[in-house]
Amino acid sequence: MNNSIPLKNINKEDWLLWQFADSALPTGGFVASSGLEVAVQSGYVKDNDSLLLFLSSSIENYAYSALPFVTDSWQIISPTSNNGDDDEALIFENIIKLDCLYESCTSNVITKRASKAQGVAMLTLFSKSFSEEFSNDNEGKRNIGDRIIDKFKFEIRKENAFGHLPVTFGLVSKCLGISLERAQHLFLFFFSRAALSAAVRLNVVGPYYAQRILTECHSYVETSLEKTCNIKANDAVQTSPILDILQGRHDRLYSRLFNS
Amino acid sequence: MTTSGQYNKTNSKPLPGHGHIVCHLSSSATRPSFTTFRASYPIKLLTPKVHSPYLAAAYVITYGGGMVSGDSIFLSVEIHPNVNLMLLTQGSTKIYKQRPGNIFVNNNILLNGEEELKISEGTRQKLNSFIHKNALLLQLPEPTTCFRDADFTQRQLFTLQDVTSSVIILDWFTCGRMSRGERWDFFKYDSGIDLILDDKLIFRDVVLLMNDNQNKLKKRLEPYECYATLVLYGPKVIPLINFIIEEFDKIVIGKVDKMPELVWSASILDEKQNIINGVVVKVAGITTELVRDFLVKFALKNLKDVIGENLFERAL
Repeated sequence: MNNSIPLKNINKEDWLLWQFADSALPTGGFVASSGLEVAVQSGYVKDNDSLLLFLSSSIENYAYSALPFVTDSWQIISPTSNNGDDDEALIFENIIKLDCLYESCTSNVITKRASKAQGVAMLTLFSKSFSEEFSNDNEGKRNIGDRIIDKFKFEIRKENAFGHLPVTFGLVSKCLGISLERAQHLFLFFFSRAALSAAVRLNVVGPYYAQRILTECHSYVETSLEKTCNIKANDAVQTSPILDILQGRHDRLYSRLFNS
Repeated sequence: MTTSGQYNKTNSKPLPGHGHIVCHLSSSATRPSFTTFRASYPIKLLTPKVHSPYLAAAYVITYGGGMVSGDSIFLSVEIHPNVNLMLLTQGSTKIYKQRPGNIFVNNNILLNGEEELKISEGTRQKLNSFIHKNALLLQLPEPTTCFRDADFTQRQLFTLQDVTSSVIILDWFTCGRMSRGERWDFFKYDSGIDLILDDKLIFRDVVLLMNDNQNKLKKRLEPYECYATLVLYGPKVIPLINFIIEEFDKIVIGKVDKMPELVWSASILDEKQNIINGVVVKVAGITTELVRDFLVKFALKNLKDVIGENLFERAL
């Protein structure tokens, strides 16, 4: 019996990853174009080459600016965290600090809005779909995660916290037992997929070609991760000033399909 | 003895590459004075005559109009209540190329030991500023121009004592020495701003541009040759902030096939209960002059009311 436990956990992680990768996962990502809509309407993305350039720069920018918050957030609940109240208060304080830091580091209101909407959706998803299953499992870790996520949601409702996606994503993946490496990959996969699904709906590429490009994005994600997987939130940076400007203009579009 | 000891301590020559400015206004006076105004090579400080009340200005100059690899400069600025202080540069700040295998070390820096040597691998510039109540700092340099293979890191910290302190921060850079056909050929440009209010970080903006692969950076930043970030915060610049936000909200973007020659966006900073305290503007232009015109004739045109016509023209 003892031997079967690690095996069971590995399978569970894989299964969860498939669930997370499924586009039916209700995290509200379908309203976000990752900045593609405004880039298309502004004439920045107009053909395949410019689409690839957009994807490689925006994936790298996201890896430098948002991924460090996933990494830090994932690491806040450590394996030694127990159920002590002191520990829990400290963990919660660190999560709120990280959430506030992301807010200060993101000047762009559209990026902020998309991040908050999807971040809160991630917490709701956890509470509604995953928390009960794990609440009595594996003493300690998951219980503390459940409680912290509930408290986080409460503070967001009271407008004392923001619930930014990179922070909630790191937290939820940790609570579900997803490894840091996989959480980091998944986070950038989500971003790439959102951009490509938007590309199809914006009629920039067809659905088959979109899958071909999504395969291409794997190398962008790998190259970006090599450089950014160890960056702390305090050292997060922006690497694409033009995309930042364009994204900031999203609400000025005369007609638009997406929220960001 | 004690007095003379203290004198030596506070007025002795600053460490190499260090500069200190403290600007003060005595009650009932309208002309601010510098209680500290000193710097060591390669920084040089100059102060022009200023006739507007409550306003002082300082030019922060580097010898030769530029910095090379190994240069590390640190400037601290403190602005006392009711003073408006403008920091300027003369011409763009040129960052010369890194010297691989032959790290340039200023003799004085060498004396400070190994840690300084590590820092000297690139060109570093740091500003720490403290803005007291009712004071305004205008950080309005010319753009930074990184030459081929230059390695530049800059950090600027602006601390506002409370909500009555104000600041204007301009941080801009060009694609390089265009006369020699250099476009985005530097090795690294890494520039960050931290804005702190009541011990709380309210805004951070760090841009990192690395040339791991030359064509990629160029492709990514073209067709623009100049990028600027402009931050305005506080009661003294509220009319400018409101003007920018109103103008931005008027923009309507229809589908176009070509990127405009100048493109900008504005984001409200620290909005609480519908009170706007600040704005962050990001702009890119196909020439430096287009960006300068945007700043002088548009975004900052009402600055005349704050600093007077004469100095406004000198500023940018």
